[in-house]
Amino acid sequence: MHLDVATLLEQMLAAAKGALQDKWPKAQSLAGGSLKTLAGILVDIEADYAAGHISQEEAEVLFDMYRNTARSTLLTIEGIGLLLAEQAINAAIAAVRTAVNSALGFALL
Amino acid sequence: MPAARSLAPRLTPLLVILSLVMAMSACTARLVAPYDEKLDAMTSSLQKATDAHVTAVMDAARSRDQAQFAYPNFQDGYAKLYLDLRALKVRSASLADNQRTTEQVDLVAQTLELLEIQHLRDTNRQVVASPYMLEDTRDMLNAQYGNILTLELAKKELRGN
Repeated sequence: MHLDVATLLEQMLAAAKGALQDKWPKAQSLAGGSLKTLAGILVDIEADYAAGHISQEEAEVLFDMYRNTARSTLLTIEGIGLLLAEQAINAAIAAVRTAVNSALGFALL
Repeated sequence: MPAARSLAPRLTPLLVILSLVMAMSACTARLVAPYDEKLDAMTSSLQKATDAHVTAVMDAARSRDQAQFAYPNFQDGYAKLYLDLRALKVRSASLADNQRTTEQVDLVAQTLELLEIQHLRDTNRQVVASPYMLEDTRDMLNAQYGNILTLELAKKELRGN
């Protein structure tokens, strides 16, 4: 069975979407390209092996490299998720800044 | 005293929130390191050097000439890339809250090491690697550098600086 980029990408996007929930649309615009690249690489390795362009040993080395690449992509998505959470926290602080500072009589926030 | 006891449970969450808020520098949350122009430039430069190195190995593999492909011809190139990757890691690790990028740099080094080990193994067996294998390797290394840059640029874009 040959791998298909579109199917793989759809599965990856669904998993990432579930993890990031409401932050997903912005994260997708920033990291969607990385996920697409990741899916494409896996398809290329599988196609090269199926066509006999690479040996089993080479396919195994490539799969080890692929694990590193997938981990690297997940770290980018995780970082973007944190940046979006940071934005939400700062928006919440900004929303109450005036009220809190006025009530305390000094600039706490 | 009973009044003080009844107030305590209600005050505790407020104190925790207040402590957290005060711990935030300049009263803004920062969960990830700031954008670093130098790290951005170093990553782009290293991506080009790595791409050039793997392309040179791939060209040698395409020639099917074992002497041309042999590991000793490329040993200095690998050493130079590791040196630059260590410099990038030091830069990344010097920034607070930058563990993700530091780990990404480590992953690039590990991927390069997998290639180097395979290159050495092929040389010892007097065989030439598949150019397809090298092309896939180059794609993955470029993807990993791209991931570092994507996160770095997201810091810039989302913080508007």
